Amino acid sequence: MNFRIWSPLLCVLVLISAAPASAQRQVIHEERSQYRNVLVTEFNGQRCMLFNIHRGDMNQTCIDLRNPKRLVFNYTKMSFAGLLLNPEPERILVAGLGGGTIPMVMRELYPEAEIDVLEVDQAVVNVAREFFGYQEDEKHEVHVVDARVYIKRAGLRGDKYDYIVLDAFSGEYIPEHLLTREFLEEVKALLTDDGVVVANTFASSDLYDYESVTYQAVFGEFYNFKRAGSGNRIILATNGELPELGDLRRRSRELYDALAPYDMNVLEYPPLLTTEADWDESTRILTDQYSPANLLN
Amino acid sequence: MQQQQALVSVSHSVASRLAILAVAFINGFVIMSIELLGGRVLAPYFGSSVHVWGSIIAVFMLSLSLGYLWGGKLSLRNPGHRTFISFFIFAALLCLPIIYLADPVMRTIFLSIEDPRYGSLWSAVLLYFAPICVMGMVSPYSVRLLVLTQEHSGGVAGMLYFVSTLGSALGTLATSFYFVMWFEINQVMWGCIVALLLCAALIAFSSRHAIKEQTS
Repeated sequence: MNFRIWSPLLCVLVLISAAPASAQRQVIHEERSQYRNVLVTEFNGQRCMLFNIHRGDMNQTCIDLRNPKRLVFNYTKMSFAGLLLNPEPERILVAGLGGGTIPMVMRELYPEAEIDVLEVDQAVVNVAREFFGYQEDEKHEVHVVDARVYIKRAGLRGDKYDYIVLDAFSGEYIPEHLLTREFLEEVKALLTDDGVVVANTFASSDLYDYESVTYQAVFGEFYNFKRAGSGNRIILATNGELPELGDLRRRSRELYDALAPYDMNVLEYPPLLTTEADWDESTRILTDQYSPANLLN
Repeated sequence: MQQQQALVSVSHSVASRLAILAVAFINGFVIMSIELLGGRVLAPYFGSSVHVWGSIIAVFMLSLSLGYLWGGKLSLRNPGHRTFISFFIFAALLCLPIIYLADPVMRTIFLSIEDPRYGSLWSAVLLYFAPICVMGMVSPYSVRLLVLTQEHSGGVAGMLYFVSTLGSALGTLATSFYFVMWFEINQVMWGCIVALLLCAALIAFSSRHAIKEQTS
């Protein structure tokens, strides 16, 4: 028997026999999308939003059904390190909705803040509202639009934000036009003098070096935030000078009580923020002319 | 009989027939390479949502369809290598605005059309219609230049579809797998322009060679 011919068949058999184990993950909803259909699953007391169930664990966002306040993902918790750089945000822009965790927590923390959320896929908005408790209000609006288009127009209008979260990256396909120097320059133009950009980026692939040099080219020195066991790296960049470590420590003590209910220990964050460049600084900068992000990942 | 065949066919020699197949291949390659880059050209202004790809693919298909129609019409009157060569030169020249005018064109459209669906559609029309239409004219015209006898016409057309679509497949793969990794968008566009001019040179060279052969 030729194994090469039979191995695909064996794979199929193995998959079929493994199927009952993953069947505990129950699909409770499937939303049709112009992009990838959005699935909602429940498993082990967690409800998750997924884009692709066949390629393993591609959870976009999860909530803990027993304790909905508790943030499930490390990178979501890490993204709130931006508050150490600007503890009083008044105008917040979030690119990438997911389950709406980040804007909802921001709303709870800052009831007066104006929040704009950008999400390219209407299906994600529908699912977030129906299954993840996402709610807009008078000063909180979600725009179904490509982030690049909205940000370019906001710049022309002269809009300003003091807290910008870039989280528009689903694991599988990276929107390459949201990684380039030109895009980051458009983002920077929206920032107030005391504003901060919080970007969720890749910690492990080749892209790490490319993204690092591109952010550096636009923002200069920035805080790099990585944690063991997380495949994500958070970039914290500002329009002006970065605050000193002492300031970050003081703010982390002030914010501790407010963030603890979300299962965030913000006191751990300041020592992990570093401006040290641990990437290859000779890497080519990503531009609108050169952005092969999906080939680098 | 001999006389009549000479009227119908334009390319007799093996060299010039091979040259026509080669340029059909390159033409197919270049079309898809430019189409793939189109998404990246439009993304900074209109995003990379599904509408933008919809606009690009629709405009390319429309341009090719009219190119086929007009190229076929042109082949009815005095078909010859000179017209064929001019297709490639025009196509190359019409690619220059994609390099030099894309930004001002898209900026103007971005400012006047709010909806990124129609913004991307009009940008795609303005930037890509003319060059891709001319590249579409190559296909029916090459059929005309290659067909010697009526009974072989289907085979000739099949062979041309084969090489040009094979070129398109390879152009798609090469651009998406490698070119965008190695080069900037405009560098690949210059590569396409040079390839089109090489097509013109190849046809010019092979037809001159063929004429010499015939007269000697």
